[in-house]
Amino acid sequence: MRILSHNMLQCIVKGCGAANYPLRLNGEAVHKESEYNEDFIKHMMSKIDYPALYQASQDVKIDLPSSLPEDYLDNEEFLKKIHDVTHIEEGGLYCNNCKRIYPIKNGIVNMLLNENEV
Amino acid sequence: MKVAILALIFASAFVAADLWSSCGDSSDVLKIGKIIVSPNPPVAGKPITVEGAGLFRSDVTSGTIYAEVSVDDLPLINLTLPLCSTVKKFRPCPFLKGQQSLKLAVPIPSAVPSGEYVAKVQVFDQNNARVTCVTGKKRIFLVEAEVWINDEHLIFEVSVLMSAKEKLKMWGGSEELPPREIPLKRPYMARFRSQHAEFRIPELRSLAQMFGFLEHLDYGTEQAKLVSQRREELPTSPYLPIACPSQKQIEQVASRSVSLMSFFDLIAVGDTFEELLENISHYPQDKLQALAGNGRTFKYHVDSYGRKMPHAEQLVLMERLTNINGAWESGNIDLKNPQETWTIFVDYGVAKNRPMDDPRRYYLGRKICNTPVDLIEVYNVKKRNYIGTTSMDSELSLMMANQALARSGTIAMDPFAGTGSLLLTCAHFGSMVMGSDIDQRMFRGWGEGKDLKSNFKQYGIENKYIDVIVADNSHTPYRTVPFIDALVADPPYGIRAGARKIGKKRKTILREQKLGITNAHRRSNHIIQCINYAVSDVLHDLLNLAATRLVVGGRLVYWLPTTDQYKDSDLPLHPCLRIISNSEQPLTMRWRRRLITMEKFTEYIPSVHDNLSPEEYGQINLSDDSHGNLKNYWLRIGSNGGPPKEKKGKRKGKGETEGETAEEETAEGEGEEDEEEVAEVEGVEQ
Repeated sequence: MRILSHNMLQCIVKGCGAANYPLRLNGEAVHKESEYNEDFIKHMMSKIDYPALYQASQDVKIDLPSSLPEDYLDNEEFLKKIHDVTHIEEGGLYCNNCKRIYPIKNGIVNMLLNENEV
Repeated sequence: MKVAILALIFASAFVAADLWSSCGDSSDVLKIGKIIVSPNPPVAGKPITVEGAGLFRSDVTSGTIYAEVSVDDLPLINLTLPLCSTVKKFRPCPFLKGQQSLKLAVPIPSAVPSGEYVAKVQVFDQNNARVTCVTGKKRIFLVEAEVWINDEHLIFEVSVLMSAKEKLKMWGGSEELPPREIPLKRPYMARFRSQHAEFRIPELRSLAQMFGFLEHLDYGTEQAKLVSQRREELPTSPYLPIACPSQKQIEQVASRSVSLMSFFDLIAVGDTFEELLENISHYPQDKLQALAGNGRTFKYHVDSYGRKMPHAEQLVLMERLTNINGAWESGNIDLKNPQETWTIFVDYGVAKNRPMDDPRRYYLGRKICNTPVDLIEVYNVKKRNYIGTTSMDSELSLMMANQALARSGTIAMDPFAGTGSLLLTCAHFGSMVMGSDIDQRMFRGWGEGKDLKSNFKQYGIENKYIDVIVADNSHTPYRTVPFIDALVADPPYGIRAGARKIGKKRKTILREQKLGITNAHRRSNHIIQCINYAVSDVLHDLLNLAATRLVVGGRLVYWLPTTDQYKDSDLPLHPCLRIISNSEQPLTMRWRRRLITMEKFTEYIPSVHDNLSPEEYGQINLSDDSHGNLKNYWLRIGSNGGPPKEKKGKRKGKGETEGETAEEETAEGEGEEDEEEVAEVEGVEQ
């Protein structure tokens, strides 16, 4: 799972409340080379919640600036860093609020609830 | 629609006023004489009367009018019209040698959008000798005209271009200067593939929108009819005359479309071959010369629809085309690598499933470009590394990606991704893709190298793959912000693939209550239980996902299974989404599916749109046989209708396809398993 995808996910346990975002991240960051796609990353940056991304990067010990650089759209070095922000192969997402864990196995996160949680 | 542009054009061909000045010379056939214009200058709200007389030096029996009109230096109209049929309503050909007098009145409305109109009109006679050339320049608006000739009062009606009202509407209803983009449109011929007729126009429109010229694309409208010399669009025909501002746009569409085969420059149209030949002579001859002659190499091609034209007949057409005017005589035929391919389209049409004997229409086109139809083969499911039981056909997946406006810099998502068929084609066109599915076995496939991701590797589009997420569409885990540009989906409706969502079965609830079990889900080997996911709920959740997570302008493209009882009112709606297109694909006698394209056109406002009742959404009627409870409907009537049959396995009617049988079996199987079925989803250790 890309750390960028983490930015788009929230806890869905019934009654978890408003503090269901962002989820915390648990696991080891694996760096994977991928072709830099400028269109995508610029597009993605407009959707990303940066504090959540920063927190996730802290959780898995990746070095990102604590706040979004002002010139981020022209800052290719920064954009490439975000683009390459790595993957989690094994680990989990967990909700700080209700402590629910969503496991990540073989790079795929499982966001399914149990039947008693719906 | 009656517009005076033509009246002006006609008038200008014979009458010169001080509105008009001559751009011709002394060799012109018509010598323009006395002109009286009143009032001079024209006054808004009062008609202008133009009286004039001219001397024809020789007889004019037929000919062509070329007219260009521009507004504030921008081209507005470029017309080529046959002289005689344009003027025959009030003055049949020929115009004999001698003096002809004319009187013309042009009403000027009081509300005129200002703009400097410049018109240049040239008329050529049967020998291609110039009759006259005039240019007119005036701040004027062109409206209906009444024309008097030799005191006969006739209304000049020509259905071309736009009415004054429409023009005002196009310019935002204001009387100010029109916006400066009024592009000149050129005629082209869109040659569609014969399959999936209902999907052609939606794809063409989607691509035109993606490349930013939808408002300037015309087909089947007045402008496009003008292109095809005011002929009606023919039903079912794969030949569609269109008009748009530039060849670049045609090439852009051609780079993406799979329902199209090729684009052509449209040279001429005719209901008979003779008429086609006559109309070729109305095409600007210098242009034709430049393309056909001058030692360029070319070949002819005859493309017929409705029946195959015998080779001998094809040769006759080619022969007659070559002889009609000198254009092709100086060129060289090269069948292998011609610089130009001239195609004669012969539309026989289809009547009651039998071809008609005489063609309905002929067209002549010059090929510009082909479309990437080979993609259909490239993405052929049979050649794919990893597929599932319901992987979508490549042609339809490509069309869906086009209708979803998949392109670089966008995010496409499939909430029922399965083996990722729909995502592959979106990724091919440049979108970054995400998918989710309740069944993670679909993603993982047969392991490394035989899973969803390996398909992306196979096509070299791995860098477009973001992630797949195991998730239940009824409890979507995506953050409630608009971040998706395109949602593509072939949702499971319980006919071919069972639709499941997470939930506790009634039986389990009773057993747990009886045994006092409260923590079954905490066991390490616990398997999540799934229950049936009703079609109306699938649709409700899908539309809700689109309304909340799509960006404004983003699209939802999905398949809706229906029966032959389908009504437009069956379509699920959402106040934030509007329907862009709705095309039917027949599957069997009774069963259809429809590709629905919706666009999110307004922001989702939680205080307004949360907690809407199904009635307020539009209608998602549980009891509706069209899609409300398809499985029950299926079990009740079978695939071809009729009374319910008692014996299982004997529902198959005559003339059904193999695919259908497979579907039926699946449906039956599901009918039996009902609630007893073991949960399908893999367990999650906790």
